[in-house]
Amino acid sequence: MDNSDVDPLLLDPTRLSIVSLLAATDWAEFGWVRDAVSLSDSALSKQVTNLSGQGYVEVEKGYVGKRPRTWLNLTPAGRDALRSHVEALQRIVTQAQRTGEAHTASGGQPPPSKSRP
Amino acid sequence: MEDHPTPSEAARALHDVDERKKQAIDSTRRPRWIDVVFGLAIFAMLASHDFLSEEAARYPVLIVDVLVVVYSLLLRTRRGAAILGQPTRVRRDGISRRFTACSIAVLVAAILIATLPPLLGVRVLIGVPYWHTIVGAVLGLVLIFLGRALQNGMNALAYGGNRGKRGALDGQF
Repeated sequence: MDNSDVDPLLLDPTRLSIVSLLAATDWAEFGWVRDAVSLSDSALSKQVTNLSGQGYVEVEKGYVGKRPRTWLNLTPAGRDALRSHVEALQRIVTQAQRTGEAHTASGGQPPPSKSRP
Repeated sequence: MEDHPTPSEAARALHDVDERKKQAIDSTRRPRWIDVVFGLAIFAMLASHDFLSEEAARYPVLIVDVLVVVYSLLLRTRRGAAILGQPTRVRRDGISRRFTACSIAVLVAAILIATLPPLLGVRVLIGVPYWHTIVGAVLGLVLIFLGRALQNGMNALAYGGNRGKRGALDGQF
């Protein structure tokens, strides 16, 4: 099974959720992302630091009136990484489905063993 | 999840990607006060034709035009959207073609309804006293009380941009 495009950073469900949310947007407020993924400010900050360290997420800070705001957006690199990751996940699922269909077609004979590495 | 996700883990992750995208589209819901402002503005614009002179009735129309332009411009910037209570800006490629087609159809239908009857000489409401006010009240109330439901329906149509295409971030497999 080809897992070469699986991004280790995005295997974490929380990081995948954050990146998936940002993928559908041009930008999103920090507070909205925090509430959407049910994290605390500090936990989201930590994840954002990890993602921005890899160049996946950009952070912009500013003020609206006197209130400080932080906006997050996915970089083109982050978008590409997510696309490759999703394609790799799709391949894994498709391959499993094919194996299952082949197994059914062969009358229940066990497929060639593929143990998890 | 380890470095090599199992098929069920991969399927779960793809499902999560899809759900997060819907969540992002749902974030575009307008705050109620915006529907109230636009509902009142539409009512004032139409009612002014019954109560003000032709000359004076132009100003409410102008005010509504300015409101629409300012609202659209504010939504395009982070700070402007924050003022309007919008936490995100959804990408165009995340919106389905179904949504675009429906939006255009609604817009064209509204223009036709507004322009065709006068052009064809059909004057449905001409004998009804204060019909501008009645139409304004109906449209304003629909926007104020059904605006949220209408937007939920539109959001449901907006799900699924790029769905099924190669490399789409939609968790479809």
